[in-house]
Amino acid sequence: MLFNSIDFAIFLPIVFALYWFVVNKNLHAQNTLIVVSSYVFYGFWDWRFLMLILFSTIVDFLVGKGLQKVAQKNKRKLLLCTSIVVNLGFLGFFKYYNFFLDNFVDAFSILGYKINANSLNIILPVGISFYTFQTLSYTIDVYRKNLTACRDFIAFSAFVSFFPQLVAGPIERATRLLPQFYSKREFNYAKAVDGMRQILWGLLKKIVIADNCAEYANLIFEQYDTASGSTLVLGALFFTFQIYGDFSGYSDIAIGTARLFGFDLMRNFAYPYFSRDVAEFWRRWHISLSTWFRDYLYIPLGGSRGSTWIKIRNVFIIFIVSGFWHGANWTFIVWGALNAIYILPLMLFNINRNNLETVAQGRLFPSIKEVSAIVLTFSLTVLAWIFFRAENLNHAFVYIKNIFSKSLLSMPEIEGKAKAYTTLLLIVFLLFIEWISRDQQHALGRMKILKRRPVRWTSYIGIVLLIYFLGNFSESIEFIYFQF
Amino acid sequence: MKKFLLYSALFFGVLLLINCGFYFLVDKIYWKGYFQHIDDTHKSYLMADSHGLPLKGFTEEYGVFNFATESDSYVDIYRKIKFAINNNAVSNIVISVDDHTLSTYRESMNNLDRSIGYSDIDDYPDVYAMIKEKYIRHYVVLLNPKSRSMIRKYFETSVLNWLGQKHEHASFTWGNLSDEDRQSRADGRASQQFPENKRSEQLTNHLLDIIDLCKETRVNLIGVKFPLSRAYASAIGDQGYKADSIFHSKGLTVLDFSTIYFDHNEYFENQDHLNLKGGELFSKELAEALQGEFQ
Repeated sequence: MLFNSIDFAIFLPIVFALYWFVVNKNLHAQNTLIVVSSYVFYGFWDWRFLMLILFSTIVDFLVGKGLQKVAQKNKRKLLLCTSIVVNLGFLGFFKYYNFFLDNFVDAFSILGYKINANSLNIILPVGISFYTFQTLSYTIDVYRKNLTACRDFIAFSAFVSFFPQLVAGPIERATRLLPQFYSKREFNYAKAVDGMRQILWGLLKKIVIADNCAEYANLIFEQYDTASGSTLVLGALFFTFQIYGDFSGYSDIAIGTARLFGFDLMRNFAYPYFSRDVAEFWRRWHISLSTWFRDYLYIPLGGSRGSTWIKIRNVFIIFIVSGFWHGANWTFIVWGALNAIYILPLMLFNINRNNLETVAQGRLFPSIKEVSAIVLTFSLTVLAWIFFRAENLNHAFVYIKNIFSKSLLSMPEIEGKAKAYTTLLLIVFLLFIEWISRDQQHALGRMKILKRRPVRWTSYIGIVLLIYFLGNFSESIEFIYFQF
Repeated sequence: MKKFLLYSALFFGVLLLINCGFYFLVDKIYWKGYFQHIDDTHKSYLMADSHGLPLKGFTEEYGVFNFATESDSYVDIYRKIKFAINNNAVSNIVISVDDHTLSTYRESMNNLDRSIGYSDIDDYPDVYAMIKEKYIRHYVVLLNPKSRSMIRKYFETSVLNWLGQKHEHASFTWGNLSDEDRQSRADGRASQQFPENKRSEQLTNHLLDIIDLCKETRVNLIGVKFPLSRAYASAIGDQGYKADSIFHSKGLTVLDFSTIYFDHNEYFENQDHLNLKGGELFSKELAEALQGEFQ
């Protein structure tokens, strides 16, 4: 079920009403309702893959219980390995089988051997990368004794399948989310209202910004060999805002929806395009995945401790694995490696934690130095996104080569100019609102200008009408991160 | 919770008011004109997209109710035929089998949001789908993206009228255009209507459903190919999706008028649509041809 669909508009109020008015007195019933509604939510795509979630849930629940009981190190390791093999096995098969097979065949053909191996027609289960990582965090934390194993199967199932964040995150840590299923949720007015605001802003980012940008990004990326340099720059910019609006919009809706049910999910985006260096960008972009890799991969590898070589190795490992997590394509690996190259000088000169506070804190306008840093970081990010969006490496390299042609200084040529300019104006609007709210959890948080209720309500109605009149409702535009 | 419910009700109440305003507007300018009440006085119906529009009420003279609407697809037509059969004693259906009717472009350019008025539960996979399409999408216009283009257009026109300006319409008389101009317009239209080689599977299935339905209910089904301009016929060449061949294979009659006005550009509004005069003349031709075909 898509967040921006009629199905969800029907589903959400029904589940909300049942949750707070029918099963509100009983924790077990609340959790059962969450499990049932989450399975319905997921089953709208393909009910067959519910078995996969259920199987993963059962395995990790049993592994957790086993880890709690067993004291011997070897047995505990074996249990942890079981969980890792099962979870990553599913992920590997569904997501990476064809990639490895094709590359294996290609590698042998270069050496002169011809191997006949047929790729399988595998459907990637929506959200598999997300819930796999979430359940893995549980078994690893129980193994590390950071968390007591869950004894309530329903609560555990609700943790694994919690519908707001099941298919595209935020990837929650078990230590943070699971305990929230142990206590009965009480309705909190301020939390619910804030959730509604965040949902509204998320819908705007997805339907108005991302989906309008998608139309032009798709068009220009298709014409990469004929479009002018300036048009290609515009295409990359459109994609930059498409992916931001799409993914951060999804996260906003997920977090907002969870708040309606009394849950706090972790923040996933913190105005990343206002970052002053790439390290800051990665502290603000897809935070739940970055911190997952930090906690479960980077730190166990030694983190930033050890020799320079170890530091370089760890940075490359984490970014390349992160790229590969996004998809079984060399473009994602190069995207990850490129980000590692960006961040490496900051790590080596120990300046990666220079920009921890909000940019231009307490001021409306940034300094020239800050603007330059933001523009430079943004440009590097846009360049990297070209690899992320490209169909293959050749596509990406030709795209970049064609940007730096004579036509770079010409006017962009694009079909439907009026709509393209409107989309650019909408991007400016998004940046403006996000800039003035950059110290808030989300853009419609507690803005000073929205203090008075009539002004606030008028703004919300205005946003609804903006979505209605300027949104792109093409059914073919799904959330980008569903494919991961 | 009470406070939340109260404020939510107020907020959504405001949205509901806006929705109602938009609903009545869209109903007035878009939906209302589509649904036509039919009565027992008619036993024969003409079903077509915009090609049937120039025939207006001329078909009434020989007892055929003109049920054609701009952009009707075979899905819309299927709903209409079923509705007509369920509510009246239908004897004859005259249906367009023009070359573009099975084009995939008709899968998106159609009246599915309007022909819901003729639909029933059998037209949907389940009750939920029916409630969603027939009621929610229809009445909650804020969730129906197609309605907004109507509202936007309405406001644009109203503002322009208020400012004393008229909408710039590319107005031309087909008969007065040069041959090159006619051909270029016809080529443009053909490339829109014939985007790929394959015919639409969905529309083909619905055409077959129409044939089966008429067979089951013993309704006489007659295919008709509307007159085309020479330029348009030359632009499409043999690209047609051949809905008529399905009729032939099922042993049904097809009345082919596509070439009759090749030398009469003055009867055309544009490359593939007759003008009012052409419509009136063609209506007579059609009446004559149908005489021997009606049951």
